[in-house]
This record gives sequence, C-alpha cells and structure tokens, in this order.
Amino acid sequence: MRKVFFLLLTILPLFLYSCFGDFFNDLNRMGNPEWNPSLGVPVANGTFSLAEYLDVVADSLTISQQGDGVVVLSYSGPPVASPFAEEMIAVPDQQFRAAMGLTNTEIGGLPVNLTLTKQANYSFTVDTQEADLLDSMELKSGVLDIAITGTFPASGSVQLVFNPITLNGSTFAPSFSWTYDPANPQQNISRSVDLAGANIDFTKGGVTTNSFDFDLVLTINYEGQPITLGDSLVVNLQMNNPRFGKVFGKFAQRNFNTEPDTVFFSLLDSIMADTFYLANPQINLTFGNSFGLPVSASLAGITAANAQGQTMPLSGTIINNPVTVNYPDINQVGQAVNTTISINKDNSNIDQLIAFLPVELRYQFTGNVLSADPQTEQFVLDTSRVTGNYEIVLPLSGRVMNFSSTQEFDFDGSSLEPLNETTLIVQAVNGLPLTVNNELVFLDAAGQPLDTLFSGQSLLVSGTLDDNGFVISPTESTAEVTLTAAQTERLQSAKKLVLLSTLNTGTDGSRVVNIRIDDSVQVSVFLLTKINL
Amino acid sequence: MAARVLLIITLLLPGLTGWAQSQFSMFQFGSSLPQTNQLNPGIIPEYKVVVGLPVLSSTYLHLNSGGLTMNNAFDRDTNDSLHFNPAKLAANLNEYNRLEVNGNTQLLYLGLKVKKNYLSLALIERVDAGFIFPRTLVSLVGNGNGDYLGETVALDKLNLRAQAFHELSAGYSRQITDKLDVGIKVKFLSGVLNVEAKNVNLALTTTTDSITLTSQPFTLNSANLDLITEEGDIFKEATAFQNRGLAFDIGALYRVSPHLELSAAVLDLGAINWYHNTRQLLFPEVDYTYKGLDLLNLIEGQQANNLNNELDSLLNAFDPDTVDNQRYRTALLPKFYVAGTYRLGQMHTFGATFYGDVFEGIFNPAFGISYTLHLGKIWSVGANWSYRNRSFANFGVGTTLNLGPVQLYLLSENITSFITPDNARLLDVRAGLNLVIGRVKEAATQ
Repeated sequence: MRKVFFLLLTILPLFLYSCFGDFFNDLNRMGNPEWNPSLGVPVANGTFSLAEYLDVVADSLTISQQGDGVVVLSYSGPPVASPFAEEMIAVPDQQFRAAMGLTNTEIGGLPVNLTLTKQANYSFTVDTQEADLLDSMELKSGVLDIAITGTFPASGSVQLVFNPITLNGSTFAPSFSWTYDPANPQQNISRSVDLAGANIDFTKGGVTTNSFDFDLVLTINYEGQPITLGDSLVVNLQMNNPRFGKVFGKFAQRNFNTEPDTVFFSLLDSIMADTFYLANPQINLTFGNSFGLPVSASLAGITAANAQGQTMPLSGTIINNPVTVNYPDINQVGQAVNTTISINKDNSNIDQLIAFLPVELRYQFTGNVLSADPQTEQFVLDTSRVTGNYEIVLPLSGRVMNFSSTQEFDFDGSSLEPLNETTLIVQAVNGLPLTVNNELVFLDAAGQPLDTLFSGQSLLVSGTLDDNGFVISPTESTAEVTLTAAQTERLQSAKKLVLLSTLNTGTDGSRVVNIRIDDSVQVSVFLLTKINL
Repeated sequence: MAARVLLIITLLLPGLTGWAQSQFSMFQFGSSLPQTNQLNPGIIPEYKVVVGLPVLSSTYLHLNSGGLTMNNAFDRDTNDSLHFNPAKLAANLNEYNRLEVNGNTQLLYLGLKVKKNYLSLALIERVDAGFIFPRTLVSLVGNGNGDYLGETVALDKLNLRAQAFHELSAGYSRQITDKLDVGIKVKFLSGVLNVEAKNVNLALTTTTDSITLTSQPFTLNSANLDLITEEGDIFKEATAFQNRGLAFDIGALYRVSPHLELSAAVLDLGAINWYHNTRQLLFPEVDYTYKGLDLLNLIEGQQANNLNNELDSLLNAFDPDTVDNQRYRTALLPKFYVAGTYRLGQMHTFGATFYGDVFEGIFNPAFGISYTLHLGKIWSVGANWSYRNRSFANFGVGTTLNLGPVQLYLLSENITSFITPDNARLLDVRAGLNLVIGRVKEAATQ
C-alpha cells in the first residue's frame, strides 16, 4: 500500500504538470479573435418637408406658402436708397444789405428836437437752387452774421425787426445802440446769431415766395456835432450754411441713382439642370418715398449671372416704363409712403431669367424728384429719400429635369478600418413630387474616384400625382448597396466624399408639379456591417 | 495580449459566480469524514471528538462555468494558434446558463459524540455568487445585432446574486434506532455583502430603421456594496454581525442492511434579512428607440450634439430611483441530497447520489456514482462519475489519510478539469485537516 501511495504521489504532479503545460503553451499561441459581429446601426433618420430642408441648407431665404399651400421661396436683402434730400436740395447762403441816411428836413430838426427816430422796410429775393420756390423753412442749423457800420457823429440805436424769422417762439428783432465818442465817432457793430430752430417765412404774408424782408428802426440823439446828408447807417446780413430740417415750397426736378447692388442665390449655387421652369416667379419692388412730392422711379437694370459666369439682362416693359411713386401729403410729414410694383412674366422675361439658374442678380434703380405741382403744397425733410426694396418670389410650381447638384465633403476613410462587408440601406416614404437620384463618390487624396455607391438607384421616388401636379399619396422606396470587404478596404484611403444629386419633378421631369408646405419625406439610413475585432 | 486576457477571463468566469454545488465525493467516505455531516446532519461522524482548526480544517472552492470552456470559446487553426470565437461560444451554450462560484472555509469546528448523540458547533465563512444569463446575451455580443435584423432578441431571466456571510451552526444528531440516525442543524447567519438582481428582462429589436431596447422594471438590491466600490471598512462590517438570518439543515440515514445505507438531507432552508447599509435601485420600465442621428441636424453639422443627446436620453431612461436602508431578504438556495452506499467487504464501497436545487424556476439536477477503496484504516481513495451541468464528463476523486489523530483529506468533483483544462467547466476542490479523537467503531458493516 505504501508503495502505491508514494507511486501515486510521484505520478500525480507529473501528470498534472503535463496537462497544464499544454494549457500554458496554448496561452502563448493566442491569435487574433475570430470575432466579426454583424452590427446594424441606424445612421440617420428624419421626416421633413422641403421647407424645413431649405431652412437648413439655404441662407437669406424666407419660406411661406400661397393660399393653395404651395411653398413660396423669397429672397430679399437690405434696401437700396437715393441720397438724402439735404444732399439733393439745398438753400444757398444769402446776403442782404440795407443803408439808411437822413434827409435835410430831418437833419435840420435835430438841433431843435435833439432826437430823431426813422424806420424803413427792406425786402429781398432769396437765392435758390434749380429755381425752387420756397414758402418756408425750418432750420436745423445756420448762422446769421449782422454787421452794422455808420458815420453819424451822434449817439443812437438801431433795431432790426425780422418779421419772417421766428426764433425761440418770437419774431427775431435784435437791437443795437452806441454812444458818441469824438475820438472814434463812427459806428461799427457786429453780431452772429445762431439760427438753429428758427423758422423763416419766405411768403411775405402768404402772397409770394422766395421773399425775405426786415424793418430797420434808427434812433439818433443829437450831440452838438453837425450831421450831413453823407452820413448813413449800413446793415449787412450774411446767412451762412443754412441747413433745413423741413422746407416747404415748390421744388424743381432732380435726378438720382442708387448704388448698384447684388442679391445672391445660395440655393442655386453649384446647380445645373436640363430644364428648370418655375411657373410664376416674380420680383416685387417696393419703393418707399418720404419726399413730400412725387417721384418717378425705374429700374436702371437687372442682370442675372449664372454659375458659369454667363449673364442675362431682365427685359420687358417694366424696364422701359418708369413708375410714379406715391408720396406723403402734408398730414404725413416724416412718413414714407410705399409703392409696389411686380416684375412677372407678363411684363418681363423673368421666367427665362430664373430658368437661367442665376446665382446672383445685379440691379440698380434710378429716379427723378418730379417738378412742382402748383396745386399741391409740397415739402421736403432733410432726411427725405426714396428707398427701394426687392423681394424675389419663387412659388414652387414648375418643372425640373435633371436638376443636379454636387456637394463635396471631407471624409476620413480610415474610420472605415474596423468595417468588413458593409451594406447601406436607405428607406424613404416620399410625399414630395420629386424623384431624387444620389450617387456617393469616394475620392482619394489625388481626387481620383475609388468607388461609387447607389449608382442608378433612386433614393426618393416621387409621390403619386393628381392631374394638377399635387401629391395625393407618398411612395415608399428602398435603395440598398453592399460593399464587399475588398471594396470597404479600398475606401479606407478615401479623403473626400462627393454627393451627386439629380432631381426631377414627377418621375422624369416631364410634369409640372406643385410642392406644398406640408408635403414631406421620411428618410432613414441604416448601416449593416461586419466589424473586425 | 487581448486574446490572452479573453482566455483567462473565460477560464476564470466560473470562479466569478454561483449558488449551488453538488458535492458527491464526501458521501463516498461517509461517517469516516466529519465534513460529511455538513451535507447531511443525519450522518454521524465516527469519532468521539472532532476538532477543526481555523481554515485548515476545511476549505472549499467550487467554480462552475456552465458551458463556458476554453474549447467552446476558442478555435484552433492549422498553425495551432487559438482564436477567440464568441459566436462558437454562443452556439455551445444552453438556452439559459449559470455561472457559479461557491467557497467556504471553516473557522471553527467542534464535534462531540456522546453515546448516541452527536453535537457540533461550526463557524463557516461562505461566499456564494452566481449569474444566470440567456444564450442570446452571448450570441448578441458574439454575432452582433445585425444577425437579428427584423427580430427581437430576448435578453431575459438575467439574475445576479453575490453574497458573503457568516454561518454559525449548532448541530444535533442522534441514533434513533440501530437503523436510523437523524440530525438537524440550526444555522445563524450574518450577512456581510450582497448584490442581487432578479429577473432582469431586456429585449433588443433591430429593424432597418431603428433599434429598440426595452426593459421591464427590476430592482437591484445591495448591502455593504461600499466594501467593493469604496473604502468601506471590511473588518468592521465583517465583525458587526448585522444582517441576520436563520437557516436549517435536516437529514437522516437509514441502514437497510449491514451493507446498504440510504441517506437523505435537505439543506439551507432559510434566509438572510438585509437591513444594514442597504441600497435599493429601482430601475423603471424602459422603451427606448434609437433611429439614428437627426438627418437635418446632420446636414447642419450638429451630429456631436445629436449623439450626446441620444446618449443622455438612453442613460436617463435607465436612471433608477435610489432607496437607502430598505430592508430585503435573500433566501439561501435550498438543496437536497439522496444517497446510497453499498459496502462490499472491508475494502470496497459503491455509492450513488442524487442532488437537486431550483433557483428562479431553473431546476439543476445532478447525480453520480462512486467507488471507494479502503486500504486499511489509514487510507481511503475513491473515484466518482457524475452528471451535472448537462455534462456527463465529470470524474471526481477523493482521498482521506488518517495519521493517528490527524486526518487529511482532499476531494474534487471533477478531476477532468485538471487533466483537460481546455474543456474545464467545473473546478471543485475541498481540502482540510481534522483532529479526530476516539474512533468509535468500524463501519456498521463489519
């Protein structure tokens, strides 16, 4: 028994060692796992209307709908404007001069009466530009320089009463006086008056225009010195830089041009099409006029440029016929009155212009401030101007054939390294009247194509249309592409991904369709792949 | 390196989990091995005094991996290299699988035989852990959800329990008649650590436009989890004797004839009440669908935000309510043994044992036959073959060696795990040293 015991005691460790020896040898023979699980992952999913899609991809785009629900795309931008009125209409500097002397009778009476007061009115015609007829003016700035010189050897005073000028709520009537000085017997007085806020009436009591007058009241106190017929008092008035806040009157015609401007169509960038026809495109031009007088405005020109650099001018009666723009009446001082005109296919070639797939529109306005209407009181504020707003309106009713676009993205193909055989499944339920074919092209660093997926497959198939081109039921579709392991490996060197999209209205671009705001598409993208672990 | 880690994990997985273990080897040695009294209190050791030294007297380790074996998880190519193949592993699993680990060690044992009575007192530290999972879990990981396109994969009946507890038992056995011995053991339990989640039912549905994950509400109970996750004072918790419980073992032995003995026992009828430092996580019902990144956001280049939002949504969906200090109870896993031995002469004993337990509706049966060779009074060696874990390839061995008052023993339920570790699904070892004094009698068959 003892022998058996010790024999077992010897053999057992050897036996176990041999068993575990193999096991530990196995530990040193570990290779890569044979683990290639099949992973199914929803990559992306969305249900959206065309309006929601465009809201994401297009800048400067306003989306609305017509009464029948058809989507309307609108482009607009900052308005263009004429110069301000104060740059077009100005009141020039004015000079007025008046001189007053004494008669023999007045001179002879002075030693007896010792004082004499004499008054006279002086009237002038103001200078204007372009033969404007001014009724009144409210100044926001300006200076009246008053210079009085005299040779009377006596003390005295003078008052200038400017009945046309109201300053600080009162008739402007400055007074000046002097005391006789034998050493310096002449009068030499000057004063500058700030006219900001002053109102000047050029009608002389409502009977004329461009008229200005003032009264001069001279008082002489006899000082025992002889006064002759040659003695006099001269008043020189200089109105410098008069700038109006408002001016009333009747104004002569003036011309203006806006600066040229450009509107960009980002949506149509990188787009080509065999046919692109929108049924009712239009451009709405809205002129805002705050001149208190009529304005004639017209398009100096609209020129479309496409992605290839070609240009096409807008033509038609709308170009040739100026528009008379409404204006505010006397009760609407400070307001702008709008006038809208529509450029459509009835008065222009805009449908051809849009079919040209413009990426930008260059345009300019020109206009005239019309000559005075003698029956109407007119006014101009310093800030009066004519503005022009554009709105390009594109209702999505039309026909498109092979409307194609190309988008390029950076793509790091090395991210595909863990992937083996891979299947992409795109499912769609399309309620849009559009059929879309997409191709995914993978490019290497040199820009050479490595592979193209979904070639010849429609990812979206147009919904079923009624006779009017409206979708009445959505269409389901599934597009599937499988990449072999070798293809997947080849794509690992991809650096760019190009998405080529071709769109047709209906199934082949032959139908005029209407895209409603509620028409939507549901898309899901699913990835099924074997992973190398 | 990764493959090596996978291999080691595969081999160690059995050691990370489990509740129940069928131990047939001890029955081979009957009353000559005092530890048999742990499996059936009706089996009275044949010594007047049995003293178990701390740790030395009995240490037991049982690892059961179910169908997880190295050969099931790895492929060997023509160059003799091994490759981890989870799909193969999934194919070799049962519909539902149990991973188990059980361990215990005796810190104290004292047995006294007084006439027809046998009294015992034992303090045992027990660790039980287990994980029940469906084959679909491994299949899903191994094959990927793409293999289940258009299908729903049920990840159901997931169960997890790990617990460590003290077991202080007092046993009383008595020879009722010349033929019948009966015994009972009262076990006072004190839980140290517990994690438990029952019936976690998940389902994953993959279609060509979405992935849907659903989960029925479930509760994750834990006690003293900070011993693992934080800097909990394990000594303090282990000696606090909180989380008390009670369990019973009962057993009987019947001598049909001088050669034939039949025995039966039911063990671990009881539960632990967990109330100290507990935490309950109440996971809500989840129905989460992922349809991919939002296409419009993707076009806008906001995929990063999109992904983060999706992850947040998923995490929020599983965000549980937390209830601290909630009392709960975990039952021990009741099990039973029915055994019979036939002694042929002085040297040979033949035996048969049937074992069963049921956990969460899954019946786990096992049975085995054994042969024991008694080489005098000193040395006995035995071998057994058993069916367990749906496998017939279980060959166990055991030996006892009595050197005066010192008894050494070494038992294993599955020696094949040592011979062919590549196929090991069960690792089971019990070893110890008893001080036995005063052998009362030879076997009744003498």
